[in-house]
Amino acid sequence: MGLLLTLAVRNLWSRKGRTVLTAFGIALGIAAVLAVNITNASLLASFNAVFDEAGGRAQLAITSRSRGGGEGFDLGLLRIVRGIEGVVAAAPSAQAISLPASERAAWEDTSGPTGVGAGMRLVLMGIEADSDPAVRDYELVAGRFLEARDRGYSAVLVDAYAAEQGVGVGDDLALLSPAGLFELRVIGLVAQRGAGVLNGGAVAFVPRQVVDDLTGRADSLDRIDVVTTRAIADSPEALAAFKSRVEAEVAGADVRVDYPGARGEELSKRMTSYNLGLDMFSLVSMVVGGFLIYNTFAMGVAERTRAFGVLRAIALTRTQVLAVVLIEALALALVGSALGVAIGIGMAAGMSSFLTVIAGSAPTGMDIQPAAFTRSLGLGLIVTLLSAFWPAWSASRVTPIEAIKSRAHSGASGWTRLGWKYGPALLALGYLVFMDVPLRPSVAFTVVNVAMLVFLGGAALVAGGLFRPLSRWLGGLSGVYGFAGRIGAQNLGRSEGRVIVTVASLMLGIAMSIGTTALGRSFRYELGRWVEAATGGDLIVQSAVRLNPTAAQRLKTLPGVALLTPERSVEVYHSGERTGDQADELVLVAIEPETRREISSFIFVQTPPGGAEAAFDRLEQGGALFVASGLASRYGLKPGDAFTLDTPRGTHGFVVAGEVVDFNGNGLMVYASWDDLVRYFGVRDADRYILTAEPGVAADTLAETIQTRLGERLNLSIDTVRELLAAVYTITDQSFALFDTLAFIMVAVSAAGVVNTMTISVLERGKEIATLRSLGFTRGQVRQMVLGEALLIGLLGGGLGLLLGLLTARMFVRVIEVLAGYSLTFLLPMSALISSTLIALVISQLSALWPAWQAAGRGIIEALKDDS
Amino acid sequence: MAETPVFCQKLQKHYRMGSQAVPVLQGVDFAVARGTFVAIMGPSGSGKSTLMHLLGGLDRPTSGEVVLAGERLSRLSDDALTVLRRRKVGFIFQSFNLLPTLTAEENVALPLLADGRPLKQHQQRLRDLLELVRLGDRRGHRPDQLSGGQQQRVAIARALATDPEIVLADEPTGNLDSQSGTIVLETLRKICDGLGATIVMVTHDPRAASFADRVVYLKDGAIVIQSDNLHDGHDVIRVAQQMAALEGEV
Repeated sequence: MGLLLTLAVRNLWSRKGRTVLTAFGIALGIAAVLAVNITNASLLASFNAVFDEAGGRAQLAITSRSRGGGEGFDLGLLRIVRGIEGVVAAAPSAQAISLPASERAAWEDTSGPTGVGAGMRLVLMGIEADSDPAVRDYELVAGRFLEARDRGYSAVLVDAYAAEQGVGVGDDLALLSPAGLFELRVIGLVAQRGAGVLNGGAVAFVPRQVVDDLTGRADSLDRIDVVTTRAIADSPEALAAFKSRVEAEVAGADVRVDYPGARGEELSKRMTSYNLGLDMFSLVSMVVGGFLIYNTFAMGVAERTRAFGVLRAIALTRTQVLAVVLIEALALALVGSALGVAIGIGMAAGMSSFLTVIAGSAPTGMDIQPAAFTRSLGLGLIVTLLSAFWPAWSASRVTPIEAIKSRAHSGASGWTRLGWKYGPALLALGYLVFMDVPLRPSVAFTVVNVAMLVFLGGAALVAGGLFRPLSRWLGGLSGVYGFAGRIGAQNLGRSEGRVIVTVASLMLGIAMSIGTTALGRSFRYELGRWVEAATGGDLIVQSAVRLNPTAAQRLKTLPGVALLTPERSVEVYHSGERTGDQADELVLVAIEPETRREISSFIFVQTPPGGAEAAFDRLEQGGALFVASGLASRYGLKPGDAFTLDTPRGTHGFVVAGEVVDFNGNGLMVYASWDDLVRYFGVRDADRYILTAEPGVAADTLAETIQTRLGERLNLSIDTVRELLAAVYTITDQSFALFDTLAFIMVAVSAAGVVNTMTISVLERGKEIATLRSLGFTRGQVRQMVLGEALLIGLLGGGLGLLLGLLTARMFVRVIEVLAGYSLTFLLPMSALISSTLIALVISQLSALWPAWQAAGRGIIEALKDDS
Repeated sequence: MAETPVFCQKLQKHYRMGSQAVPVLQGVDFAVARGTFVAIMGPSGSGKSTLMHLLGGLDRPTSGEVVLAGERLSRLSDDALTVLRRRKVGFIFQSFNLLPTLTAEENVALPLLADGRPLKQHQQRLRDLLELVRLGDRRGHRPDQLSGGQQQRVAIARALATDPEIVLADEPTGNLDSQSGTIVLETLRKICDGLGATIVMVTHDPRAASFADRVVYLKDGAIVIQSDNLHDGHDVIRVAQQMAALEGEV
């Protein structure tokens, strides 16, 4: 073993440049996978941390079935819960949303493709002072905590938030509510730990009665946190039994019983499609890295064929030769992994911060789990060893006599034959499964990943099959470097296997780059189309503290306002037939069909029976829904089908009046009439109003009028539709920036492959280059020859990448449809096609500069002595 | 044209091995008369290949001067030296060193193409050269379709493509069997006699050296013996005896 290790390490050391390049390729692949793993875990952890810490020591949380509804559930349920066997403590709470008066102008609420809002309001958490500390942890840092005797507007704030607001113990904090301005007296401060992490620290703990006052609800709760005995808490089986017992006792009330972290998991589900997309990209990065590894080892083995022959003749068995090469692969994997971990953590830091901002959650730092390391390192190790295995096997199969007689070159390959035999079939299979096979959500991710890998494998083989004819056809273009360039282009055919893998790697990088651009463009186009159609009107008027019907009356009476329509969102669950997956939390958006249809419209996936007007009429009648295409796809809904929702007033059936395009809430949206909102949810206030201006009145002028007359009184935020669209586009572009980053990584790895290939090409033709120099090739002509060779690689990789990119672009758009339910119009990004092809050419030339310089600079005599 | 296409004066070449300078040539004075065939012989490490490399401008001496086609090589830049080499020197290597992706005709044309001369203008000359080496019917063949001897003859034709002042051959029969080697040597003799080419050949083989007009013996980086008028007698035995005497003294 010592001999094998020595041989392996010495060989790696003797080819330092190549070793570094290959390790770099491995590192980038591992970094991408690790960064995505850490980012996804961090995001989930940041959601879970909030709800776990907010839930404190509680093992169960009881919440209203319709969480976003106005009424909550009756206070009387608390007595029942406290009487259940096993309940040690039960802490009730009610919540209201507010905003410091000082932040009214700065507040805005936007959401992006993740469906999560990015605005930060102040949560007023109404608690019972004597029971809550038994459930939640409060670390008092100043003043005092709430006491049972506190009935007035006293509040305990989180110290960091108080500092931001410039208030301390004894100060008053002015807040906004639908009823107007009010003040809270700050009596204490807690650290941003335990319960203090709720809503990123933007939480005020107040007596429950304060929330009752502000919301107009009497004796109504939003949540009961339940603590049980240690024996039950420590046993998963006992805890599950306890949960069932509690559910049975509260079955009569319209509530759910969950483990506290479930809420975080629900929120993180909204990011699912985005996270899964990142996961897929990171896997493809690893695959491209695998190409580089295979190529390096194939070349290394070919170079050392004679050396292996000598070793076989005098000392080593086949297994030992195999082991030498695999030990090299293992060493490279370890070095690459160490580097990849460092790079990956750095990447994850940036990605995590970015994603938590998009998701509207306060960053809680990176959650670096051992599992993320294990997965990434394991994947890197497996890909490296798999990629190196075939060259290692080939090395072990060569007989000593053949090896000693052979010349060290990679020679002809079976790529052409294999390429045409298997390539088209794999390509077609991967594409068809990706595009046409309907998938259940639980298996969708796994299947699309496997289909993508099959597709890419097929593409690489097809590239091999096309190599010879394309080289002949395009080789003349290397004549841009004159006669020397044409000589260079002809050289490609001498090491087909090596060059094909390099071309395939470049092809994949270019194709992925085109795919991400197409996805971003298509998404942006569809989003814009939807926003323009769905928003309509001239102005969006909203408030952090919601707008009661009085606000609508006041807005209507303003000069210049022609029409006004309300909108309100509530969270709701669907019960009934399951698809086999956990029930989804949906978002119900209530609209006034009569006024809404005058201002904006919906984009129906298919024209409903009777047309759009008939669909609106049906919605207006009540008991009907427009469902977003993502939801319709998940539940197999079409117009006329029944769909039940759990509301505060019971479970009710609705009729699907139409399937609509919608980019909110990860596609899990339904639209209902305003009357149904009042009837089933008891809610009357709006999140926003959409206004149209009278003819001749400019939107900006109307906005100014509204701001002047009602802005402060109603705590309004006013945007034009144009401004809203710009904000939506900004978040969308930011969301896709991470995919562009991963595509760039793939291109970088393929560039490393080109450097590797050209370096080897120059090294193994030292004698030939010396001959050309002897015959009268100048150094410049030698450089042109190498650059001409690389140019053909760039032409092949870029051209094939362009063709493959047309397919991957369609596939990425399809991924969004499968995973998120969005229906996108495919847009072909002509500029991306051109720029990506140019990038391939530039990469090929830049990557060949150093090998070209090396080739031209080498001494003639020294090179003539090369034994290659 | 100069009567001596190439000559050198007080030529010295040292190689550095770590901190030590290893002398390879020690003050060599050497000239080649036009239209003659000179063989350079000597034991391993005597400096014969180094001498040939310096004469052809493939390497630069430590001191001394080489004059090729009237040009002092020490005064030329690398590019200028390359162009001079392209136009004035023909090289024949032991391993043939043909480009495997080019046909025989294209390999012969290589120096012309490097000089920017269009292939079409020189097509007839190329065919004549291949006919001269008796490979006119193989001009479209690639190197892997030719035997070793045939490849070396293509290399000979390539060396003549630009009508050079001098042809330098480094062990041209080293990788060939005796029959192929004889054909190559006869070809070299023919172009010397028929075309008036000036040839300098490095060889270990006394039989190869016997085809030359003059044999120069190197030992320890210096010329020790020069024998003339071998051609008339094919005096292989005499050449072999002198070589053996040199090597016996090592």
